[in-house]
Amino acid sequence: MQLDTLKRAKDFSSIGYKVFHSEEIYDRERSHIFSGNLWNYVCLDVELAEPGSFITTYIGDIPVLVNRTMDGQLKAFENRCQHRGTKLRREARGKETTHTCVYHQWCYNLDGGLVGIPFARGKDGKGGLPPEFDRSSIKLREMKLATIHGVVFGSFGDDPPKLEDYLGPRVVELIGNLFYKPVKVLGYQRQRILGNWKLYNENVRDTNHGGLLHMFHATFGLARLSQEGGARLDGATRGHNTSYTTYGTDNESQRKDGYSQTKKVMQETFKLADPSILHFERELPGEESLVILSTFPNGVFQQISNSLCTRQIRPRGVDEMELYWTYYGFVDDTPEMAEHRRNQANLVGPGGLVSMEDGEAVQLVHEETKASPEAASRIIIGGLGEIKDSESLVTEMPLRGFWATYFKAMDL
Amino acid sequence: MLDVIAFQAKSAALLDAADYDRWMEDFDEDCLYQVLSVENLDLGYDLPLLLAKNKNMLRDRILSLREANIYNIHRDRHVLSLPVVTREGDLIKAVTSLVIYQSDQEGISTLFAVGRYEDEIRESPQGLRLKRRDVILDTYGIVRLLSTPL
Repeated sequence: MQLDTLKRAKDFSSIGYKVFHSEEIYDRERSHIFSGNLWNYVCLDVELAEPGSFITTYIGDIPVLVNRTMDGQLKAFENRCQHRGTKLRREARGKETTHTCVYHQWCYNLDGGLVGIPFARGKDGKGGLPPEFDRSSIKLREMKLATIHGVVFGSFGDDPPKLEDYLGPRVVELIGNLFYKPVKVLGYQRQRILGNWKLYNENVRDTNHGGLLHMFHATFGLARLSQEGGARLDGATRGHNTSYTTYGTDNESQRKDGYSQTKKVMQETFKLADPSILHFERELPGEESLVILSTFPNGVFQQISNSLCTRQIRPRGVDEMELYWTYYGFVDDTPEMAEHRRNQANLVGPGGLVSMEDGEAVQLVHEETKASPEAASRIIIGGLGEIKDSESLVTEMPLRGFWATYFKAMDL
Repeated sequence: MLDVIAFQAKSAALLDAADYDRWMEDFDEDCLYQVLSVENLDLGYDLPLLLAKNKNMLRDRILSLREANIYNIHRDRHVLSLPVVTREGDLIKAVTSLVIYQSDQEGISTLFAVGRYEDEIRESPQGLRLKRRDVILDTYGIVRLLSTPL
């Protein structure tokens, strides 16, 4: 691997576009990142409420089966039969006491142990398994799980750090704020983004684009670059980022000063006929009205006004990814708040008034950089050198934290 | 039945022509328009992919599309099945299968969405009007993004 063609600047302020398009790099990500000694966002504990509940998901492009055992433990495995490699659980979710492969009926218990093989001794002593076969030696490949405030993380690594140490105290505290009382799932959204999964990681850490690309945001005042806000970087190599802002903390002259160089981002004359979607009801322990936490390598946790959700980044090859959105509310939400969250589901997701552009931006970069793998990006807004917190939204510093963490995990 | 077919066909043709102002004329002021994922409905969740709880929210959606949002440059083409029509008093209910292709600037068409309309229609002096339209998507894995109304 030619390091120089990938990482152009030691402070990660320039990255070669080849990193988004190389199959060789993609294969290495499977072993070094998605099977590495780090923690991936898996699901919410509440999605597997009862013993026997299971869901299927992806960590990288590795299929994963998560289930709750009959004694209440959460366990996760690679969703692949140990016999001949068949996908073991095909359903997105369900409830069962065992998992049986459809191909040859090998059956596993919820702890991942092999408990049944049809015709193990063949027929009339002929055929069947060899005498030396030891059924107890066969187990599904297990993924370690750890849970913080009901958010489940997983690691295929042999020796991952403690989850709390991996995320850092500020991220742990923020997750505690976003999930500060019992939650319930409100539904899912799925978006196929036609671009490399790392481009979405850049996008979600890019606080500078929020008030520029997302004009609904700026126009109607949910989030403007002129407001108070910034980016907090966490983790040993600053791979996790929290972008935050608070509505109503800018004034007209700050807005005009910043947006005067743009043609149409800020158009003060536009007014919504039904502004109910803009209503913000303060409810969480934190002060901010917008928080986007992204954890390396695949997790996003969002509070946009009263819209709360997680997003899981699922690579589907070099050129494609699925973004899997899990919306939640609190168990004790009033009917009015439940309806308000439904209304504000309009803000984000694949059809979100605020966020629909992200799918387009990622694809535009992916398509155009494919033809120029030797060229490189400029990640310079917010300053060069040390990767650190920013007290302004006009920064790309968190992208450099992502890349520092990425190259360390990739050992490149 | 024929009037419902003509009504739905006109609505789809207006969307394909990107004539959203005239498309909105067929909705009541207190209409409900929502795009829903069949995955969510199967799980008992009513989380929308897109929601307008009244005609003003539809107007806002169109204003935002025109003035604020950035999305893939494309044309839409709706293909509708014959509707299954039932009547409940003054209310006409129509369930119609729906396929939408998107075509890009290079003239390449891709299947964007498969699903159904579940319409609630009333007769008015000006003709039929939509009280409610649920667009229920089998294609709940939205490719790229969901911009223009379905």
